[in-house]
Amino acid sequence: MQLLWLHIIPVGSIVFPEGNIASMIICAIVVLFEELPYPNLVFTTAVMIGIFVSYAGAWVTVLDRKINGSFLKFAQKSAQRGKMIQINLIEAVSIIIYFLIMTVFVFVCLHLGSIALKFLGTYFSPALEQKVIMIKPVIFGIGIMFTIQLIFKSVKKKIAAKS
Amino acid sequence: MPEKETKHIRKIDILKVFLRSFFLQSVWNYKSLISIGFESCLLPIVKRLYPDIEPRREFLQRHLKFFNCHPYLASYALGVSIRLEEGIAAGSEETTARQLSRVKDLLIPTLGAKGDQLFWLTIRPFSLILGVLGVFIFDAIALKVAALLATFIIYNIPHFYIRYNGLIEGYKFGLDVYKCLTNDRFSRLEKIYLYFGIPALATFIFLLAWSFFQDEPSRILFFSGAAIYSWMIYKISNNFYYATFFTIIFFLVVSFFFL
Repeated sequence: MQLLWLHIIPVGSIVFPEGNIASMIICAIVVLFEELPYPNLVFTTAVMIGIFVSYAGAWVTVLDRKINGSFLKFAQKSAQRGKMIQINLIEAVSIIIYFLIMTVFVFVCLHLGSIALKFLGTYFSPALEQKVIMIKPVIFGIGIMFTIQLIFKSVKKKIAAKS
Repeated sequence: MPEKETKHIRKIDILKVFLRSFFLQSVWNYKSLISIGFESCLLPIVKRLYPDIEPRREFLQRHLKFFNCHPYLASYALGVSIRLEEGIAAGSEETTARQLSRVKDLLIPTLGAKGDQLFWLTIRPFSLILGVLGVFIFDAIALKVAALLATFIIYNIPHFYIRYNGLIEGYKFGLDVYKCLTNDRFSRLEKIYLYFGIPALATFIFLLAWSFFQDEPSRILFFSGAAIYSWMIYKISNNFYYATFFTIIFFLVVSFFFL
């Protein structure tokens, strides 16, 4: 799954898809619904959920960074007072907040994903399963395309630097 | 101006900064980017160099200004900052707070560009491809785990090395840090990953295509078709979500009619 998100370069203040969380949720959903006799349908649904999760995750990260913006004011006040311990505390609180936000986010996504799959599962059938057997080649195809594009970019930059 | 009593940085301080550098991006914000994390890394140095409150205040305020660069190569900026802070604390006329601020500003684009090229464009993709290839080739679960472990090691050797060495070299060279940031130094490392990574990627694509062909020849069409279709959408929209979502939808529709 990581091949899908490999090409994203977290430069500066870019809002990038939260690929790590999305990959974890896709894997978790596939494992959770392993007992269903429709592996490809489960995988297809999990990937679609994963794409939405990566999009939502990007905005959750933005939210966390905005919260961190308010910490900057505290840090500036602490710096004016020369209080080093407060800077340490701000860093610790920020890490805890990020952890909590992401934990809640993952929990909510996993829960909603499970509900969605349970609902869609009632419509799953062997005939439908046969229709989506191509999902793995398609996902690999997209992942390989993004990876090749990244490698191409890397080689191009290398050649440009040489010349 | 007479020079103050010199307080030297100890190895343990550098080690503390190194360990703290792993949390460099923890208070990432849109106003000053990684400045709080950067300052937090330097706190062991403040304790050593500035026992008085007034210089401490100045130190804390000057490092809260905007700063951003690649998280691994930031160690060079940390090293230079430690060196210059040592000079400022000693009351050296050659080193001023303004100079430190200027050097940090100059390091932002250099370290950012070099780090992105080295890690995000070269080391990370090729390490992952080697791991994916290992997982794909081996059947035994122990070997699959070993391949993932190898990926972790392949990625983290240069990561840890640059993180630590950058700190040491930044401290050692101070304002001459640009000598450590030449293209030649990093291009050797890039070449190693390129020479191993490109054949690994080609092998992976070949084996993947072959396995799809053995399963069902039509899967090759879906595999290559999805690559081309998503590339086209990505070229038009430059949007990851559109490229993945619409490619999956398109091929689901195709398979509903033709499979």
